[in-house]
Amino acid sequence: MSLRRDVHSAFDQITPSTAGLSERVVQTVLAEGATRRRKEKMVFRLRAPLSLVAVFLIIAVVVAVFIGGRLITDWNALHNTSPAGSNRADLAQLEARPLNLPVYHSRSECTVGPLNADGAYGSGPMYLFGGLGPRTARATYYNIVMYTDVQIAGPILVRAHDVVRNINMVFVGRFAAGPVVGTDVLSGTRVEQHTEIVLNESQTSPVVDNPPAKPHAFVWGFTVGVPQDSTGSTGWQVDGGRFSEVFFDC
Amino acid sequence: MQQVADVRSLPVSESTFADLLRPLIDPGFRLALAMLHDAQAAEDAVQEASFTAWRKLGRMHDQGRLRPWFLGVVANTCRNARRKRWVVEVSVGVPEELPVASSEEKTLRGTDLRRAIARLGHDDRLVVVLYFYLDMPLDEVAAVAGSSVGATRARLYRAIKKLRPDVAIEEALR
Repeated sequence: MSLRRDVHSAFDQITPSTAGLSERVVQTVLAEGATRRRKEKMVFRLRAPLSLVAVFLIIAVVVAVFIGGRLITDWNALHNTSPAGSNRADLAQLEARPLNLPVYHSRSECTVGPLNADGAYGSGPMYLFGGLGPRTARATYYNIVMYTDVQIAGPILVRAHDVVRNINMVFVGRFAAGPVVGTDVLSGTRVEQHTEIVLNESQTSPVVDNPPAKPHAFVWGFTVGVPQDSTGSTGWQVDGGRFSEVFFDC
Repeated sequence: MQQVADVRSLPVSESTFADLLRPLIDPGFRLALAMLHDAQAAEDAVQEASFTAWRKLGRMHDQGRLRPWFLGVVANTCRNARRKRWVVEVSVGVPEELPVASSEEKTLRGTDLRRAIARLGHDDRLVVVLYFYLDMPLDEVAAVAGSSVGATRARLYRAIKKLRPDVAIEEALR
């Protein structure tokens, strides 16, 4: 049997009688055609203006989003100075403060302190204590804990100096800031040595290696490196918006 | 094959339109049925195509080519109808209950062939139905499908190979 006969046979099996179909279709078209044509013309007439309206609406939404965004940006710029921007300006002011650290002829001239009742360095509001950390060919590192119990707005700048040889202490890891003055390798990791530490009460250290004996409102942990050519007599200056604090570890 | 009157010089009045359309309804319905496998959907497709013909007939430049043009409209309507109801079609497939059955074997063979044709893509199915079921010559099949005769022949051969992979093309074309 040929494919043609098979196809005929296959579809003839499901083809119902088409008697009257032609007349039914033609009469339906003639009866409804005019109405449909009117409706389609109306739809066609509406289609162009509706397209224009749609385009206009899209443009309006885009413009509204753009203008709204600009307005919000301007409003924020006018009323809320960004904290980051504010911090940068405040930090620049703190960095501009001179170091009030003496330069001694010998270590014997250096006096330890002041110390608080817990034996931590500092006269307040910031206090510091530390523990020995790793030692490399370039520096001996100390794990420092700094804490305060008062609210301090803005950044807190920490700098340290060898008070005999006038050598900068170096800071690595979290909170280290300022220019990079060298590099070192700690526990197999290359680190950059910076000249200062910048702390902020919005970013503290939830966990430190050697936590204070008593809980404190704000605690930070960071690492300071004492260069190998340092005498080990160091003066620290901690500057905040409304304070400047100096203490010595001889 | 039915000849369609050359109406190039005739205005398309209601009576002219009816005279032109009537002989096209039956092939249109057969085409739609073979494409959709559903008598009601086929009738709807032909009705919809007839409305399109009523709307556009006056704009036809070569009304002597009315039959392929109308069948092309039916084919497009079927394509759209299948798109609209593809979920139903995929789940239901070819109707299991057949209105007319001759011998059991013939019925089963017919069902298998319809299933095989239903599985073809729209364009392949169209050329198979037009060529084998509506017995149209290849050039008219090409006109309905909107492609060249060569491309239509190639499509038809490919479709035949899908339907009857073991049968030679020449034999299948008979």
